[in-house]
Amino acid sequence: MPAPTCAGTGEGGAMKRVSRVLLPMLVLALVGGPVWWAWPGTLGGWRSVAIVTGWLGYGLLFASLVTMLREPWLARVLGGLGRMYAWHHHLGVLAYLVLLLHPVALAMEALPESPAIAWASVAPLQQGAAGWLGWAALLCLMIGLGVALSPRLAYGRWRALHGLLALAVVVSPAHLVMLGLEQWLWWMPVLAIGVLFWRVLRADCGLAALPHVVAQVAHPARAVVEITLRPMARALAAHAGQFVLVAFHDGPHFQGCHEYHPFTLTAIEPDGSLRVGIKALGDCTRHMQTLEAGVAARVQGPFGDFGAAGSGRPALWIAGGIGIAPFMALLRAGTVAAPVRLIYLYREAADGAYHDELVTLADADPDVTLVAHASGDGAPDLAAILPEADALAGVECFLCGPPGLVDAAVALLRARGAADEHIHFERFEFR
Amino acid sequence: MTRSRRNAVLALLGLAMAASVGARGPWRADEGNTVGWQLMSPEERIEHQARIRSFTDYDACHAYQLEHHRLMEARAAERGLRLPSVRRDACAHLRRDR
Repeated sequence: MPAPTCAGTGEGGAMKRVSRVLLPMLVLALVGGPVWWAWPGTLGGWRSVAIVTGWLGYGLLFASLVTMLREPWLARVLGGLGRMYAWHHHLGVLAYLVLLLHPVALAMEALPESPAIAWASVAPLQQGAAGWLGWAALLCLMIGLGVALSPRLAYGRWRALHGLLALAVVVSPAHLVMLGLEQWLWWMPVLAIGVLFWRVLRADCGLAALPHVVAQVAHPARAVVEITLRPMARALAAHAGQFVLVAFHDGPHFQGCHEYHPFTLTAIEPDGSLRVGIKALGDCTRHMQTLEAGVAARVQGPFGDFGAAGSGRPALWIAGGIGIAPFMALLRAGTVAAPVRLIYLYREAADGAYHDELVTLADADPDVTLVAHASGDGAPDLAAILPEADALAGVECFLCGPPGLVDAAVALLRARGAADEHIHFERFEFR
Repeated sequence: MTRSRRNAVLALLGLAMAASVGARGPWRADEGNTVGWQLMSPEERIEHQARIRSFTDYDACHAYQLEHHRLMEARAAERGLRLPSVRRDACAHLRRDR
């Protein structure tokens, strides 16, 4: 995975409350609509369970598909891309579990007749076209989900096999058509395929992305590169605390991975150029350390709004390694309007990206206090580094960094009396 | 459980209850509306349901139904069984006078 991106939803209170409710409502509509239509009425017992689980599973799968769309406006409305991806994962797993019950319930329905009939109801070798298509969809789900839960698989292979989930969305309506359902049903597969195309064309093929070119390359720390991306056409309307998805293509001596990865903005220049910090954390980001000026790139976004929730109130910023990126952008933008204490943790001096610039910025702004700490190979002594309970009263806490560090720091902040609504962090899993 | 999750679960339960009252779903073959249900294999039951659902014309549906009844009566006779004489018309929803 590339550098961690930290981007809370950050909308104002009313908008945040609306976006909190919109996603469950959308899922409820996508799941509840078909279940309501197909409700088994006078039928009872296991047959009803089979029908309901079938439609419930398909609705969940459909909703999972919708939550993988990568559109800035949709992410804003639904509470952020991180939240959408979390729902995407949970809905996918839930769909699979519910759909596993579908054949089990069919067999249970026939069991009182005889075990042979029960077996014949689900045995793949004793099925006609409808049964075969049902099993094919379930098999696609099984493989696609198994792959989705395998973090060690190479990204390219993971992505190709994960696509089997999309195939399940297409095959399962064919299973329903073979069962004789033809009329009202059609809008669902048509919409599902439309959503699939939307995602593939806009996000994966990059139609939603804007062309940029690498204008400058800097190396602010060991295994960290900061890239300045100059817009070739329209500039993105981004601000500090947001992140973008960038695919680097080819340049004079550089061959890109052509994959979209999320990177937090470290600066937005007046001419619309964007700066992103990239830490070598995987194959592709390691290769990006050799980026050069002139490389073509496409940029999608912006997403998120890290830091906005606390604007105007005293803040504690905790950054680990490349997690300094969003704080760097906020400081460079000069929008800090209240006292800020920045605790910056890294292993060794060579890993402390932007250290000298941070010292200069903190010296120039009396509201900013910098605590830079090189922890060496061991875990940092957070109990000694983080403020005590009385210093946390009325303070908004923002954290960005490796998951282990964020978990430990959040636990300590809670133990020292910081309320959850004043602790802001997000984990991003774009797999 | 957070408030939004609780609301979602409650709404889902409400929807399920409303569905049980309001919705009827598409026509489904079952023991009560299919002559010879016990004499059919699971695959035949699925095919029968798909056939009945596919008809848009009552006469065509009724013709298929008679053929199905003849086949089931033959199977019943082979096994020395008697099929019920009172039968629900699975094509009734296609009748124009309804």
